[in-house]
Amino acid sequence: MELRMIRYILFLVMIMCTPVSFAFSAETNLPIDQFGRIPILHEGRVKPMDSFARLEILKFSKKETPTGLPPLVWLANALFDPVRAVEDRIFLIENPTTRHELGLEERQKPLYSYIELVPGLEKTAPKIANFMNIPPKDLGRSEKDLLNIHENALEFTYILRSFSSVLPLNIQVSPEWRQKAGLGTTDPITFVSLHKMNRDVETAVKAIIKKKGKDPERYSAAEQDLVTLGWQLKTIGDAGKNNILLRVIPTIDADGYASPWELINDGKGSPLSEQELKKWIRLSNAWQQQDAGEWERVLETIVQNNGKISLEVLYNQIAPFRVAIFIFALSLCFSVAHFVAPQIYLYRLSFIALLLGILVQFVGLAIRVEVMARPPVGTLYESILFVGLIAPIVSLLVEYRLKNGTGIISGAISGVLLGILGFSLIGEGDNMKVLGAVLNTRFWLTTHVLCITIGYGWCLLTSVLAHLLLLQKAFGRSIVETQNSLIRTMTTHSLVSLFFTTVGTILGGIWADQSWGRFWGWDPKENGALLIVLWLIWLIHGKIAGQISHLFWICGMAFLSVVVAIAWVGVNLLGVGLHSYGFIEGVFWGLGGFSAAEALLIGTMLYRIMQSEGGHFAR
Amino acid sequence: MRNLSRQLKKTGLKLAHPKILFWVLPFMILVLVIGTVSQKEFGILAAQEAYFSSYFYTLGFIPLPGGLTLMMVLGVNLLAKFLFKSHWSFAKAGTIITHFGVLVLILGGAVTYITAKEGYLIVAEGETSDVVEDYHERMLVIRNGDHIIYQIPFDHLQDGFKISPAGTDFIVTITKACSNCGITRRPVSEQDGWTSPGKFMRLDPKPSDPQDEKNMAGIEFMVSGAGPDMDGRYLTFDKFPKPPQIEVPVQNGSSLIYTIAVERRKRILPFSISLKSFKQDFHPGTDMARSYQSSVTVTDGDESWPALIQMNEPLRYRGYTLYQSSFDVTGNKPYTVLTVVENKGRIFPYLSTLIIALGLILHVMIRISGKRNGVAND
Repeated sequence: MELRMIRYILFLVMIMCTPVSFAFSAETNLPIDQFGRIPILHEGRVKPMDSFARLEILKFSKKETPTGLPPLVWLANALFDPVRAVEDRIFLIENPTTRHELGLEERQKPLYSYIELVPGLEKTAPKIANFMNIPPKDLGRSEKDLLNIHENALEFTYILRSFSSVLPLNIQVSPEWRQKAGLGTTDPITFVSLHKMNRDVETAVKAIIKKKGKDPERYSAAEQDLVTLGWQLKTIGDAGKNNILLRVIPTIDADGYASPWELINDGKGSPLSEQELKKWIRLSNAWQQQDAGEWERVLETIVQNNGKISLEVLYNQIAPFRVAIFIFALSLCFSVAHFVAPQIYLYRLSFIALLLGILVQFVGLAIRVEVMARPPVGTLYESILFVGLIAPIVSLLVEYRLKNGTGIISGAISGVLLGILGFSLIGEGDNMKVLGAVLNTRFWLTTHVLCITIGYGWCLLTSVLAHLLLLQKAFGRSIVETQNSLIRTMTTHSLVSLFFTTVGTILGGIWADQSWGRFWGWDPKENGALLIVLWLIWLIHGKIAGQISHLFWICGMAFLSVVVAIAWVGVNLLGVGLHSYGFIEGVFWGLGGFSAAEALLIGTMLYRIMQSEGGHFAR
Repeated sequence: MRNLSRQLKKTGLKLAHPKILFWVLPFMILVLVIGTVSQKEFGILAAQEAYFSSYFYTLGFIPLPGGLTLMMVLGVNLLAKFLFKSHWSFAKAGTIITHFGVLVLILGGAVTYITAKEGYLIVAEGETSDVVEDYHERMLVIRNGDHIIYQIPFDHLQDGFKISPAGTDFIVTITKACSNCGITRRPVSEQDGWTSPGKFMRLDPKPSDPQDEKNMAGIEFMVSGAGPDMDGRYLTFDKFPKPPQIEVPVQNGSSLIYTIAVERRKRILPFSISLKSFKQDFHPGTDMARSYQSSVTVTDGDESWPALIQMNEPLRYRGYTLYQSSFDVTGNKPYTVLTVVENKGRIFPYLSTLIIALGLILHVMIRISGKRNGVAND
């Protein structure tokens, strides 16, 4: 943590903009959409500014619109009008201990502005220096929260200072130094324009100090102005040293984009980048003056036609997976209504809604595949999205066979539950992550991971069918023939589940053999996949050999959801092996709660069925 | 003869009883769950040895069958089922093929368990190596120059253990052996009789790290019979750059130097690897690697050829797999770390995958077609 940076920020925002920037409102009438299509290199990939703005504001406040402004408007304000932006209440501090430590007042919504945070950040900076020496796993919750708010504040200062090298500064420069810098009397003063004479200023300041000491009162007025100028330039330069967040300037090197400060600090500048930087200065002026014509003209020159960027913006705007949950929920409502009061139009509506939900989920995944140029199963969150497509598609096969709404309701339930699971595990930051070297292989993602996640989806759908069967029997809502055909369908689906999980697991072993020279390493994720396979083999063989009753078999298939959840998400919590994503307390309790709820639900239905039928079921 | 055959079939049918599978599988699930959860505390290697590669383990005071026992019972049950209880008909073709595939998989597991060896090879840019060090197995090695005159697995060492290497007059007595040692400062009151650096350093046992590679095995020992200058107390530990040396005078006025070291078990490859260059490629603007690659030269006898080893693309040669597992670019020269695996059973998973997939597909297809024809078929 750079404590100096926090201290300098107030000074920086004071001098960074011309007075005109104070004159306009945070609200804007400028067309902002095109601004969102500007490419930016962030976290290893080029993404639209729209994504960047959403990610940053979500990181600070866990909401996209804490100030009521769209994320892009908030970002434009922070970039081009930092003086006002430091007053935006965007930092969410939920932990009362952290609020107390930072000396913040209590309010209904615990959102605070940067200005409000600064005294507390300064006060707690020594603690942060100590936290840096402690492994993250050994930090308490309050300590992690405090560290997090410091990191967020630092990142916000990077945004605020992104253009501090090229935006007009509100500092005094004598005519002599203006002339040395090659500036006319009316030219705006910027760090870049003064940068070339920075060394001369430093030399002159050193000479003054050597001659007259460090007491400013002994300096002449001109000397005082020069020393102040030197300090100001040094402060701005130091503060920009690590500012690599806003990589929007195209460069000729392999990285492709650089931040304005990188151009100065790392010597990445070129005639091309200088031209691009000028466009941003014009853009900044247009924003400050709310000049729509100039704003659009400049954006036209910055934004290039890029299919992936446009797709990602579209993806952000339509939020397909949120829409899909809503449509699956709608399908579920129609399905339930159809089961309560069978009507053909309810059946059709539920079916159409399910199809629509699948389509939207598919579109969302297709966009992700196009944007990331890899199969959509590189992370846990992505695998949930993918299974959220597979399970409803499998439900169509069930419906094709049964034609009584069972497939539709099971698909809708899977869609809704997996959608909610996806949102609960979306995590912080970009969910279109670049992958590490081991996972960076399209072939194995396409074969092993797709196969095993299809297996997960099929298992979950089979489990939902088993739940429905238990429900039907427990509450006597269906005839024996319907149950029998559902049992036959479940049997087929349990075999298909076994097929995909077995082949997927073995393919994982082959990937391990191809990459690491060994087929099986008892990694928790490998063991989890094997757990599903063993569970299915046990139930299927137990049923075939007559070792278990149909009722036990159905209960076992219903409990498959818990086995899959443990194998899919639970083993990652161990923090061991190649698939470890670390312990997440919320996920741990969520998984525990889900397992307990399933055990209770299945147990209750089993009890009710055994009470009503004496244990003889569907023989 | 007929009686023997009848008896064999009778035994085979008993061994093929589905009850065996039915009871083996829950125990397998149990050992899988316990072994996996225990990795959090003990690490993968210890959990593997305690549960998956063991014949028995105890849960509290209850003895339970370990992974090896269960796999053997499962293998026998499945083999007996395959030989004596299979219904050799088209309707059951999928099941039979699938079971055969699982048998192949189990057989492959057994071959791998018995024959697989794993270690790592470290080589610096511009240098050559054919030495593979074991990840886990530590040895106490005594060398005369480069020649090993005595070695013993570290696990066999205990306090009071005496070693008298053949052809020498000195005796090494182990006074302390710890599989994971911490280093502390030796108090002045305990420094008598110690040679540097043991005079100032003390090895103290620490709890084992779940990641076995991080455990630092070490010993404190006493040398006697090597002459007044060399007799004394010493210490050495895994990766210690300057292990103790005992200089023993011989008759012609010269002397022999014996080095006593704790090190990983070493194997020599039948070929050598020279590192031409190591390269890592990052995702732009991050420190997250997109790929690593070692450009090497393989030399086998008089022949040499270039090869590229990178993530997910190992080098396979003469039954060895060399894959990119780590690196070090902090020093003057970059080092690459290649994991070397020798596994004679590696073909089995490939075969079994094909067989199992074929069997399951056939089973589902026969089942679906049976349903269409109105035949109830589980």
